[in-house]
Amino acid sequence: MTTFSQQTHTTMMRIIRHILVVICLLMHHHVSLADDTLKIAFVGKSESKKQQDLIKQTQQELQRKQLLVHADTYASDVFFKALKKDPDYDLIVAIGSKVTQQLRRQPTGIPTVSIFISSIGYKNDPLPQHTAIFIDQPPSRYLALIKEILPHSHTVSLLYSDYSDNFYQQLHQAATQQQLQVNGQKVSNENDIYSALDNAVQNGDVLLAIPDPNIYNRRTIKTIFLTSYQDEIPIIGFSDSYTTAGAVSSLHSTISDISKQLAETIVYFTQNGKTLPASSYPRYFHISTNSKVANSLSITLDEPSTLKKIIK
Amino acid sequence: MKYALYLLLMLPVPLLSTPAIAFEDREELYFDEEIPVVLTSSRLKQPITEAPTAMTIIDRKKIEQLGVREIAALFQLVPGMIVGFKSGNWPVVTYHGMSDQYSRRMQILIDGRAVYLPDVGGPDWSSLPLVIDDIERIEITRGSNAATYGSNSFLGIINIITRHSSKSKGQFFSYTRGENEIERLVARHGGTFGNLDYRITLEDEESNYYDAPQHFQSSQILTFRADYQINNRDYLMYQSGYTDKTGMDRQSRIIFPSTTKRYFHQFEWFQTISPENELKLQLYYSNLKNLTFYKGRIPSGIINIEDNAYIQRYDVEAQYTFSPIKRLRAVMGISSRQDKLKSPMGFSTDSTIKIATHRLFSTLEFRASPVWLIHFGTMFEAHDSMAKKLSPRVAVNYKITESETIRLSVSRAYRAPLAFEKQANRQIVIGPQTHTLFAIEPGVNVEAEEGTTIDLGYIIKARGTPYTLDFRFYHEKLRQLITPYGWLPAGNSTLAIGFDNYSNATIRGFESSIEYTTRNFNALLTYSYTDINYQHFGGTSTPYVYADSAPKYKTSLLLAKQLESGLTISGTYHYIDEFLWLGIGDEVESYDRLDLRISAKVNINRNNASVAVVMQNVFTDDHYGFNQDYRFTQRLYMTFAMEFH
Repeated sequence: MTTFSQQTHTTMMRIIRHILVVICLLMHHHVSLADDTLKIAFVGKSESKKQQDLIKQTQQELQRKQLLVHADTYASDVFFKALKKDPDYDLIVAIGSKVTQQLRRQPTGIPTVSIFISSIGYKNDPLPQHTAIFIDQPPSRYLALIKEILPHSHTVSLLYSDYSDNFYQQLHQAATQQQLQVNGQKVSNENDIYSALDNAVQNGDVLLAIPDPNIYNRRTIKTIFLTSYQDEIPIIGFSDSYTTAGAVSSLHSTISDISKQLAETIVYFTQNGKTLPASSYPRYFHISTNSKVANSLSITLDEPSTLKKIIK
Repeated sequence: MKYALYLLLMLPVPLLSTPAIAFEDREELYFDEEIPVVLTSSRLKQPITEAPTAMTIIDRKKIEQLGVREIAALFQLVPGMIVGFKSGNWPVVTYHGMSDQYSRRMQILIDGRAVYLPDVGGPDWSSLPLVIDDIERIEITRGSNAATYGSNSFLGIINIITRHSSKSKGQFFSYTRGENEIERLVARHGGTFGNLDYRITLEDEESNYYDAPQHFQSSQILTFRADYQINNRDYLMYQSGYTDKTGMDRQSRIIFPSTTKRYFHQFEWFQTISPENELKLQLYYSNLKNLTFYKGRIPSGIINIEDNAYIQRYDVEAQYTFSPIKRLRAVMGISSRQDKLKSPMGFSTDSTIKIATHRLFSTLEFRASPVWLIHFGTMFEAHDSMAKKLSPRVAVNYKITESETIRLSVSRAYRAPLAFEKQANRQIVIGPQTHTLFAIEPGVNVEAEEGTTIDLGYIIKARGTPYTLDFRFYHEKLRQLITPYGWLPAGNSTLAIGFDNYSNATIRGFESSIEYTTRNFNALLTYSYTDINYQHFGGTSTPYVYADSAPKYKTSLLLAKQLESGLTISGTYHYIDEFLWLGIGDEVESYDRLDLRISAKVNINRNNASVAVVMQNVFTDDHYGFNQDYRFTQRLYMTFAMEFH
């Protein structure tokens, strides 16, 4: 039975939420707000659709968490000029590695969260007050997926270059814990890929594709998919497109997954005396599967939703 | 080796420079939608547990382990299949026997292009514009599959798939030398221009079998393939090939030197509308010119004849793969073919014989439940050499457990009479006399052969286990088989050979293949039992004893072990029971054959070099290749190969 006071409370909450939405909409139009409102600058390479989606979804998440923020968006080339005029941002959200590198070269002294940044090749940032939400998945998550859908696998093959050496080391460590072997094939130039690939498919049970542009690019992707398929070695990918192209399964985080975690990071920042959490892999992710390829390789696949329950 | 010098021109071609990679957009890779669908429906192979017919796959690895030089020799391992050599340059491959020097009851395709010749049948293996090193894999359908491949896919289908050119990048060079003056040179170069991958392969081959006098062959093959990914949806493939072959055979006292020039052009366009929807358009043209001289002395005089054959084929096919509802995959297609042949001596006419074939086909694959898979296939064919025909097929695959599948299929197939079977009129003039050798008896209208097959398969295969077991029981009922027979033309003193739908046959049998594969060990045991019953109508005399045309028992074993040192040892053993090659063939006594291959490979800085020694017929159990004119003896050869990127 609903009491009168509960009803009043619900109505009040609804009104507050409406006000917040209005405030958020106003924020977007650069209307000045109270001093204690958190001021965030979203800095991207350009004001792309992707960036707009991200900002919109982050704001929606923050609304849900009832946190009031003031957000401005900039393309990286105009950001530094704007910063001179208006230097009192509480937080910068750097979108992509290019912007992160720019900020590293021109330190602002403002706490920064880098997003859409790959842990592959990411060197620990010496700057204080800098954290990252990686776009790629932790090695252990890939291994858990492999163990689930390819239970007979013993050896995971990986093609890597100097750029992704860091990931190889991490994968190696994670694999040891999960009693798997890693067959790492290092590639030093593009012509090396094909013989490295032969070694990878001949001496592995599965090929883990990573976003290393030295290896996986438009020129090479076809050969990699065809070679591994010919030897009946399934590929685990890192995006929806990889699954469509022929990977048996992929793990990836969407813009809304990243937005959710970014909103949580911003909340943490406000609640913990403006300190940032440590850099981390995405907490939220999706699994995609290609049942046609799986079928052709005699792999039995569970539905992605079932897999999602098993893989953390 | 007259073209050997050209090979040297190919080798120094530098690889295209590798552009530097822009690192700025590396995160874009995660959201990048600009990737074409690589494993499209048409590229996906069907696992043997889900195929509507019995299949044998010979992949690149097995091709290497077998160590053979001739493409035809690869099929020796296939249960139920036998390989003969009428001469060093005339291989004959047949499934379930029933063959003379022209194997007429199997369809042979290379990348979907039919190479079965419309005049006398068979593909003429040794003049195929195809280099064994370019083969990616071979899918052999054991049993008829006219519903998918049309008439002539009567007893079996060999589908050869060549490598995508993106898989042959860099330079490859190999040189083989051995007994019987075996000499073979292969050079290949593969490269990339943006989204276009290409390869060019040249083979120069020669052999001269002293132990079978005047069996000589020399051939030069040049092939080209380009794969162009226009955008994420559209993909274009172009292939061409050219063969120039010179051969010399002998039959009794007649020798016949011959030259064959053969080439083709093939275009394929694929449009991937979605991963489930794909459109394919294929066009090809092939051309073959053969010139054979018959020279020799026979009791009634001296023969000195020039025999010309000229064959052209135009073929166009459109195919659409789609999934109208979940769990249903459909393929629909339409094709049209025009064969043109001219053989003044074979048909005693200077005019061109034209044979058109129009086809409409569809296959449906319905996954009724996770354990039931139902296939329907049908082909409607309007072929100039036979009445309009419908070839249906129904198959059901039932998954008993995760690793066991049972398959039951029923199919109907037709074989259209070949031009020679329908209208042969082959005459030779010796001295003052004209002799008719082959002619259709007046009043005879040769019709299509008809076959009905019931097939029961049991397969054990599970991912992650090294075993694959495949068993097949079958019953093939063949009607109206076109059988040559002798008759006496008016005014002729000798018998002529004619053709008519003279025989029925029933073939029953069992085939098995047991394979054990680990990373560095491979064992494959195949066995077949073939039992043929037949009857001829009308009591006319014919030497076609179909019952004896296949070995009752045949066993093959391939063992290959790869050692840590880079050494690979492989051995292939065959036991073939006695059988008879029909036509001008002889009875082949049962024999054992062991082939051994030892190869060593070194990798130097991602490039590799290898050397392999092959000894064929180690037991020296010599046997007729096809008839007494050619014996398969022991032979030893060595191959040196290099691959660099």
